[in-house]
Amino acid sequence: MKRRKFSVVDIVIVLVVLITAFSALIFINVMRTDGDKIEVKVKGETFYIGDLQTENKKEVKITDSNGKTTNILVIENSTAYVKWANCKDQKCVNHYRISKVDESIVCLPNEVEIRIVKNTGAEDAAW
Amino acid sequence: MQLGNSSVKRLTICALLVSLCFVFSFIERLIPIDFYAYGFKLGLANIVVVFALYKCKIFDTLIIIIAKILISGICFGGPVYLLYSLFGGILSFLIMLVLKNRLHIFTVSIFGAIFFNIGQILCACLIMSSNLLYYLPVMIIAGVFTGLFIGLLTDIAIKRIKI
Repeated sequence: MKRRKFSVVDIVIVLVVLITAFSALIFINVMRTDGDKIEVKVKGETFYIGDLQTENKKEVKITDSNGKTTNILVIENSTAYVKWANCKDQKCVNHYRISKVDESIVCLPNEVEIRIVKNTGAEDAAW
Repeated sequence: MQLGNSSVKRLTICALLVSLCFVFSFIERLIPIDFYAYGFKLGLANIVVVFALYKCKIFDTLIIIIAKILISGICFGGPVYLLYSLFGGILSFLIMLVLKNRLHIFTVSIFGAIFFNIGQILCACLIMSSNLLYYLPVMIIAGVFTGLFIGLLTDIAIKRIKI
């Protein structure tokens, strides 16, 4: 089978993709500000909305439609993190603490999304 | 170098590659670096996918990809995870198929990885009906590096393994 040789085109394409992704990343991070509210969605539906600034050391039990606890969210010092999850991958537990607008922790197995939003309406906060 | 016409040989090689995928998925679990904390993984099993793309028939490659995702999804992930991977896997397969004869294997592998991630995010957006697109830049950058790594390994494998 005929195989292509490594050429300048390959390098250029990959570099363009990398540079675009990096600039998008920087752009997103520069645009971020501290959030006020925390929003928890389970399977796309709002489960809980809390105040990030006033609620300190609060634990929120996130449950699925059967009432089984799937994740435990902790709000502490204006940041939020997941303390416990019942799933295998524990990705959300290992996730860093979130505090800025649009930062989120997602638990794919349980379809849980925890997101920081601005005070004025959740839809406006999403860019 | 295509596979022989013998259907037994074809079947055996497909089965071998699928089981190799499973082994790679398992080996990846043994690597102590926790890529999962950053939201992505190395995807060693994709070595087999890229290898199959260059060495097997198109249909066989598709079967290998679907079997790989089903097996590793059932054993290591969950049903939702499986759906995300399936979407990402098929999208990355289509992109790699298009680019295969146009670009070098490294680039093909990189784009495969990137589009796997994009497919997963799009599927997650659809299922969870929320905006996860801001994850995209991080996943694309991760895809470039994991894709390059997989491409390097597959290049070696293709040069040395004759089937």
